[in-house]
Amino acid sequence: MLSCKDASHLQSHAYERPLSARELIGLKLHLLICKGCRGFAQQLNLIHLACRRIDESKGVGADDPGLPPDTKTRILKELASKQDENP
Amino acid sequence: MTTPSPHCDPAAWLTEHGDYLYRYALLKLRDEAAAEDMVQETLLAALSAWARFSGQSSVRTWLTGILKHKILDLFRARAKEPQYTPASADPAAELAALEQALFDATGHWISPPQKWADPEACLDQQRFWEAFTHCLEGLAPLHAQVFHLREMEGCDTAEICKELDITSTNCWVILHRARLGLQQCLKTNFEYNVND
Repeated sequence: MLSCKDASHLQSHAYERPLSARELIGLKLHLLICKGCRGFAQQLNLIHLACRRIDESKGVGADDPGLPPDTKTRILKELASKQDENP
Repeated sequence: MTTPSPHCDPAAWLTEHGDYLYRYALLKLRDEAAAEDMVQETLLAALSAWARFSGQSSVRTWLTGILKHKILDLFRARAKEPQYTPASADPAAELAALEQALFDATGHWISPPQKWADPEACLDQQRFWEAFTHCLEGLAPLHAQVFHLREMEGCDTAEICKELDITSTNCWVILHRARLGLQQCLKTNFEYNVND
């Protein structure tokens, strides 16, 4: 029987590669009897989902500060000089 | 569906999309100066690549795609800098040290993770995102790089190993260490409450 530590390794592996049939059966059997590892599985999945959604959920909010005006001016100059180089 | 604008107008890109690109870069980099540089590099690259813009996507999507590549390049360059090299030369020993605190001698949880009724509901809670961001920031730099490339950018592990010059075993160990660390950090910093 797998230990919880072994099961945690397999759960993490599963995010990188498909588990072998043997690994998968071992993990499923362990999860059937182990509430702690079912909790761990849930939380790994939550972490995985949160990573996928972090851009939308946290991020790119229209209220956050934008580019500072000085930087905009600087970038405009850079763009203009590049355009002059290659008209 | 948008059609490509007939003119190549970088000043308009800056006006219309500059703030968005900056916020996007800042979110990934958490470094204002680096985010500003990324926006500038993105627009300069876009200017060179304009002829290849197909108009299949919106200008914003196209610019964001360029920005993503620029950010990845920066991550790769940073990974080679000394301050981002592993704190410990032996990620396996580092994982073992954490596991020693979490599992007993027979490999069972000392304090088993609790099962939550509806974990996905957390994704709608501001408190969760605050804790999650805090925990991400707590990852060691190399762990954060590897984890970011894998989970946020969806790079495959072979690509990450090659870019960061680490073995595939170490790559896996680092990813698992990062997940275990995040799970433990959330346990400490986020109180699951379904009624929130």
